[in-house]
Amino acid sequence: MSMLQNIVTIVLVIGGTFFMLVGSIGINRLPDFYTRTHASGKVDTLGIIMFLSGLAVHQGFSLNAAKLLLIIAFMAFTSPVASHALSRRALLFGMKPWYGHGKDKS
Amino acid sequence: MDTFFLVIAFILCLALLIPFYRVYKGPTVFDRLLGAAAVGTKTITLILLFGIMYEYLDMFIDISLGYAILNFIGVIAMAKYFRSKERASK
Amino acid sequence: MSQQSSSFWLRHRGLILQALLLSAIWLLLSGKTEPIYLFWGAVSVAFVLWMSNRIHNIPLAENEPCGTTRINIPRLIIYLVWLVGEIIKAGFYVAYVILHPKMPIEPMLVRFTSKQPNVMARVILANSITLTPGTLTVDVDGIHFTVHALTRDTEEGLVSGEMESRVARLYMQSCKRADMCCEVELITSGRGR
Repeated sequence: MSMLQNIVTIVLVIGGTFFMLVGSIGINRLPDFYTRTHASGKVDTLGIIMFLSGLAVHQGFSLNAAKLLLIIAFMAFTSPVASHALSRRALLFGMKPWYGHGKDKS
Repeated sequence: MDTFFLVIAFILCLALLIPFYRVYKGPTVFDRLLGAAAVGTKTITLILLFGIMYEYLDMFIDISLGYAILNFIGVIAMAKYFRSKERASK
Repeated sequence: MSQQSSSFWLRHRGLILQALLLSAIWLLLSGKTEPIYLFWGAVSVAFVLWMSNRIHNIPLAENEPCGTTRINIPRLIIYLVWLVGEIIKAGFYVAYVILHPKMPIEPMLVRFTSKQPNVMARVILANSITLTPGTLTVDVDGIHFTVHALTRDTEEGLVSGEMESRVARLYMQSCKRADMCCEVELITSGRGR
């Protein structure tokens, strides 16, 4: 295993972990359901894509790396569909979005 | 490299525990579902990390692929369930 | 474009590509090349092709069966590369918004009407809107889209219609960005709905 491979793996894995941590914080910090869906649907997707790319680089050219790429493609295609399904159901359920505090910012 | 992956696994466990607060507290059912889905995505990466640490990755990759599919189908099924409930109450 | 082409490749392109993709997934997941595994793989691919060929004749919306349209493959590859860049930008932007101490968010619902050529283009557009910075497709009803935007900047980027003209160019020869997105309606307070 070469040095460059290790460095790329470490950078990608740390980046992915950072984004997943930010996604978790966002799910607790944002004010309402729709904004939380932003945190879960985008930041988590980017985090898992970076993380799995790092693991694929760590594996080198092998069957495992190809399977990891398959998981990446699956996550990238299904995570917007899942967040869309949940938020559409919430809208049809009659949940009103949070529109901010209103007056304090123009 | 093993130490590095161990540290990353600890940080991921932290990131996995934070959404449980939303699952516990969430004002609506949808918040709880969202928290559960977020826990699921982090679990996939944690499974893969365990696979690398045990040097038995080819089995754990299949497990995590199945977990990803189950996570997705679970969210879709819950969305469908709420539609039928809404129709029944109308 | 809709007239029957005499070329075998053009008529059965979808089936051939699907068979290749399914075979690649089978080889990837099994990882074995003994004849018995290859035989069962061929049987599975044939079965899935037969089933999905029947699905293609079911219309997704009224009068629009989903198997009749042809996507432009080189443009699709360019579009996917552009989309990956957008995903990375989206992640950084939303992470910045979350970690900002004051959280400069100004959520709003945007309703607009899109003139995409067919059903698949609308599905691609809805997925792409969800993946790009700060916007989330909430509802699609025919040609009416309801989108939740996180801040006002992302709403302007959405309404400018760049992504829609890109998606429409996957199916049509050319189209201008100005005439794609129309009848925009912003809902920024609780009484709008």
